[in-house]
Formats: sequence, structure tokens, C-alpha cells
Amino acid sequence: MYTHSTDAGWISRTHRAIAPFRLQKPETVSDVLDAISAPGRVSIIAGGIDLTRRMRAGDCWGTVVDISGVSALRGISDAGDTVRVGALATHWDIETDPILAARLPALQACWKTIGNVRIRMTGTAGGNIMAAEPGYDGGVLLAAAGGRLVFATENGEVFVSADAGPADRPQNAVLTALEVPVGDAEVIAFDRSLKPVVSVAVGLSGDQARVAVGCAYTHPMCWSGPAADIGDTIAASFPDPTDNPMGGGDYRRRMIGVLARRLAGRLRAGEAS
Amino acid sequence: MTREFVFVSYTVNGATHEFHVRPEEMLIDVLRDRLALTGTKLSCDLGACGACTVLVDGKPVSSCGTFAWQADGSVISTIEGLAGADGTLDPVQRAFVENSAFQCGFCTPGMIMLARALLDRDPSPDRGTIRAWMGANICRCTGYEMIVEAVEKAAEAGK
Repeated sequence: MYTHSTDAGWISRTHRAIAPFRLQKPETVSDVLDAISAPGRVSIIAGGIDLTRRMRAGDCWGTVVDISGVSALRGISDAGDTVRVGALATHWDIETDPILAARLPALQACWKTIGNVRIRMTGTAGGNIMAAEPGYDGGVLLAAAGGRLVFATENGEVFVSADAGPADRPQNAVLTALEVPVGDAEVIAFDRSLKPVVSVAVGLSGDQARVAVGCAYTHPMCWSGPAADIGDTIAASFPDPTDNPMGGGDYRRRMIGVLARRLAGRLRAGEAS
Repeated sequence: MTREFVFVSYTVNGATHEFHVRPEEMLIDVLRDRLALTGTKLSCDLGACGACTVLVDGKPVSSCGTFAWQADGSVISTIEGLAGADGTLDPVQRAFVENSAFQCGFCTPGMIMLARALLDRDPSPDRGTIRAWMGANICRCTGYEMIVEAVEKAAEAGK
């Protein structure tokens, strides 16, 4: 922190300076694609929750592309067998949307647990996922719900599974929406009590289940199969978790099994989130 | 890099202000430096603690985690704008005073703005709602019980 004198007296300014950058504010998806093709390091900003934190930590960008004015990325719509959530939908939009309340109430209930009210009113679903932070919850919930990511590219739309890693996402593309099937996860339960070591979401539909894991990998990992197979042994079907001082790989793997079993038990007992 | 500026216009506590800001300039610095509204406090500088909370179009936001241009065209409320022109305290401010809902007071402006945003949306929140909502901000000395009670009292006073 440093202080300086103004008409208000000696006051403190922000502690950590953010490196200068060029700002672009496109209004269409096509203009966004042009903007992110600019030379140098380019980042997209939507709500800015994650990017400002990273920039304060020293992350430098030549150009920042503000997509908050791209109206095509807003809104939540019912497409029959799916619900399409615009990438600019805030967490608050998701938790208060009547379409999601009617069509995907279990997902909506779990999404309410993300962040605090300041984050939920500003942070976007797209930003949560594109930040690619292992501990963020959006991708885990989307994976448990069987959702996928919709990207706009120069060659049209590209659909990518919610548990695909950043390397499997298209380059020079912009996330336009999250697409969630209706009926793939009739009930979802989410346990984030062990964050940042591990988080687990379980989605059930009939006798089929999907288990999504966060925190323990660089991106959400997902298992799907018969619900009856969910038990402590399910953890063996996941790749080796991250092993670091925050949490050992063996411990994370064991907790994946424990949490998945507990969540599945809760769902079978009718304790949907 | 050439220094580029962005033109922004806000309504802050009822008055219109226009500036040219640098892209990397934060909203809190505009409020504190340029408008001398130092009631908005700078603390964690990460958007985590909520001491810098202001209302942007009625939404509680961390002004330390918001670029100045992101609030362009918005109506911004800070702690300085809550009391009436004659000094009459907002019911939330009065409830905080009457319940001693502060100790060092550094988090108080953010807490009050956060509570104001809640009551503007939900004039009669239950205790669980208050606890969940106010959990967005951090107080490191007085504890949260009196803060929650102050918000309950402010809600009752507003009925």
C-alpha cells in the first residue's frame, strides 16, 4: 500500500498496481473473435472477479477485451430438451431464473452455493468456467448435470463436454453458452466442504449416475455409469489426483469415494439439493 | 504502450461525475482519490473482505475489484450518500450505532452498504437470509452477532 496527499487528506490507494493494458469493448461475437486475434497477450473480461485478482498478482495482458456489452451472450432460454445459459449470465441470474427453477431446479439449488452475494451478482457462469481454476465450482456442477460448453469460432459453433480440459477446447474461440440437458440429472447433490482439497457433485437420473470431481485435478473430472456402482471403489476409476502440500493424492482419492458414496446415499434417500 | 484513457460517467450519491480514467484504474481509487469519498475502505485489495463494498445500480460490489470503466453509466451509492441531507441516519446506520455493531469500524461502511442492498431487495429477511447475505463481508474484531442483530433491527424499523 502507498499513501499520497489529496484534497481528502492522506489516503491509501490500491496496494498492488495493475500493469497498463489496452481495452477493447466489442459489441458482437464476431468482433470479439477479431479482438482476441490481436497480437500479444489478450484476455477476455466479463464480470472481472477472477481477472482482476490475477492481474493484481502480476498477470500482465497487452489487451483486455470486455465482452459485457455483447448482448448475444446474455440470457437463459429453454430449448426443449436443453436449457441454454448465456456465458454472461451471472451466478445470481442462474439462482433466480424462473426457467431454471422450472426445468433444472436441482442444478439451480446447487449453483446457489457458489461464492458470496457480491461474487454471485457480478461473476459470470462463463468466467467461472473459463478461469480454469481447479477449485471453481461451475464446471463441476455442469459436468454432474451432463452439460456442455458452446464456443463460437471463425468456423461456427463448437460443442465441448463440461469436463474437457483447456487443451481440448477450441483456440481463438469465445464461450457463448452453457448447454444443460433436461432430465440427465434429475437430482444433484454437491459437497464442497473439503475445498480446496476436493469437491464432488453427483447427479442421478433413474438408475444412471454422473460423478464430477473438482479441486483434485486441473479441470473437472467426470465418471458416469450405473448408480448402483457408486461406492468407495469408484475413486479407483479416476486418474491420479493432484498431490501437493494442500492435500495428498491418496487422501484426495479416498475422499472422492467417501463423498460420492455419501452424496449418492443422500440422493437415494430423497435429500435432493 | 501508449497511454489510453476511457471516458466514464457515473451518478454517485445523486450527483453526476465524468472522468477520463486509465484502463487499469480501479473504481475504489476514483471514489477515494478523485471524489474524496474515503468512507469506502480499502483493505484486502482482493475483493474478498468486502470493506470496499459500494452499490452499483443497487448491487453490492467490491470497488477494489472493479475497474473504473466497468461501472460506466451506473448509479453508485457509497456510505456518504446514505444519510439524509439533514444528517438523519439511514435506518441501517442507526441500527448499527444502537447495537454497537462495530468495534474498530473499518469494515462498517462495507457492512452497512451490504445490509442496505439486502433490505432494498428483501425488506423482511429472516435470520438465515441475513447471515448468508452478510457472510460476504468480513469483520475481524467485533464478531458477527451484533451485526446480524443490527440488520434485523433495521428491517424491523423499516416496516
